[in-house]
Amino acid sequence: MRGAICLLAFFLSLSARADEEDEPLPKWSAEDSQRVNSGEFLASDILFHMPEEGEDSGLAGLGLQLPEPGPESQVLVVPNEIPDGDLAAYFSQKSNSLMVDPQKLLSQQEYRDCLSFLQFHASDSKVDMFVFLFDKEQIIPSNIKIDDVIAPYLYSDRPAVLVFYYLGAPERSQIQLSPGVMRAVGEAERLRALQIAINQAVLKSQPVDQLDGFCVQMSNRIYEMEKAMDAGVVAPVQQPQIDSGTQHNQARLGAAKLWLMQRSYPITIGAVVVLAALLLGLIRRARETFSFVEFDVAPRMGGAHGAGVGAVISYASAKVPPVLQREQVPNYLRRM
Amino acid sequence: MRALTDTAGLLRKKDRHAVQKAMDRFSRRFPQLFFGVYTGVFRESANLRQFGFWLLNRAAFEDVDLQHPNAAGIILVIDVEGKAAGLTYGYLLDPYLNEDETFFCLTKAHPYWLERRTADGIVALLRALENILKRKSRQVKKDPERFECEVSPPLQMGDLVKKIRSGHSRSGRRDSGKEVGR
Repeated sequence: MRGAICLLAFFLSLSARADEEDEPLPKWSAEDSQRVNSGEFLASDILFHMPEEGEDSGLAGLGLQLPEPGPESQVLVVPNEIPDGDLAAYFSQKSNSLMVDPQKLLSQQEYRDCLSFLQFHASDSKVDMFVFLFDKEQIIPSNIKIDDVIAPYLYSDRPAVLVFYYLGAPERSQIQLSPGVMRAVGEAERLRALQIAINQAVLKSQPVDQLDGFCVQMSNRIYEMEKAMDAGVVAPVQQPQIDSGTQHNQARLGAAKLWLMQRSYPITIGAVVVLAALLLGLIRRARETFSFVEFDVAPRMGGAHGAGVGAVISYASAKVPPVLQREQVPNYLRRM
Repeated sequence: MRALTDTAGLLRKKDRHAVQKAMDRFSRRFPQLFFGVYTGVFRESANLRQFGFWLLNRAAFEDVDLQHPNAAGIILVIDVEGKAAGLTYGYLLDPYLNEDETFFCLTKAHPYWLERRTADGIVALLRALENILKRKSRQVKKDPERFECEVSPPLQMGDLVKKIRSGHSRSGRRDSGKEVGR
């Protein structure tokens, strides 16, 4: 055994010696030493010395080769898409953890901090808070039925609040409440709690700090919800608001419809009569003839049938208006 | 000659049909009247008024009912070479038309004639003329004396005295003013 170890050490020393022969160690001159001592030159400068053009950098001699870009480097990840594998981790089954981050958007330490806060909240409250963490621009695909996915969380033994949080975009956050909590606080309070938490988050600049702020504020709001739930408060069901003007108009419309329905028969007859009268009037007007009273007119200028002095117009020029192309009537043709 | 006589050859077959249709409509609307169109080249007798006067008094329109004398006619004369048109009417229309109204009718046709759309111009002229005559027909039914005085011969002094003595009620303010003026 000892002989084998000695043999191995001998071969290693031989290989080291061969490397030393290939790469001789740099030697310091007296001038270098003086420059180092005076502070003009730092020994580490040689590491940052960029080879100039034409100068051999020495890297080629080291035989270093960068890897060729493989097919994996050409796969583009669309920022608003969630990878299929992570989608399954989000929604395939109920998570045991209060913090759901299969994409590992948080570092390990940040994840632990956030999870510990949620666990602390769960130990202190009857309402659990689950946080599903997504990236800033990610969109949950429309083919996923959110209601089915969140049902195991909301309808379990313990009431829960589900938070869909988008890291870096707290304003996109959504929350879902268990039916018991929802009954106690109502839709208005749900929206109010979400807005307060968002307002708290946007005060911070860092995404992780925003998440912390959001969770803390949401925890406070959940505490208020819990109190309302314990007190047996039932929130009023919010009806869609209809302003009085619209109601008034609808009432008038309904009354008008009723009035029309009650009198549809006489109204129809009246309309038919009016239309018939209009039609007859139009026909009569189209067939109307016009007559003139014939007066005795004294013949003039020897004309047996007429000496009517009509007008004459010239249409020789398009530039001159018709009035200026009117030929004047000689006086002898005028009736005296 | 026919009421629509195109000696200048201005109208195509389609145009003639459109003009004839408008003339027939005019005759239906105004059974007492008829409308005639004459197109020609008047190199020597360039006075359209004189030609219109002569045509109205001398022509015999073969397609116009005999019960319609030329006194009930309105003749449109178009001088193709001189690019002018004139409107002449018989004694029946003396109280109802004047030079301004006939000129108004001609102005309706003027833009079409400038574009060499003779038939369209004649149809537009007829429409304007119909509107004027319809108005006059309604007016004469309401107040015939107003039109009668337009054409009645000037009264002599003896006639005036006779009317006053006979208690004639025709003493409208306008009429009396005209009588005094005459």
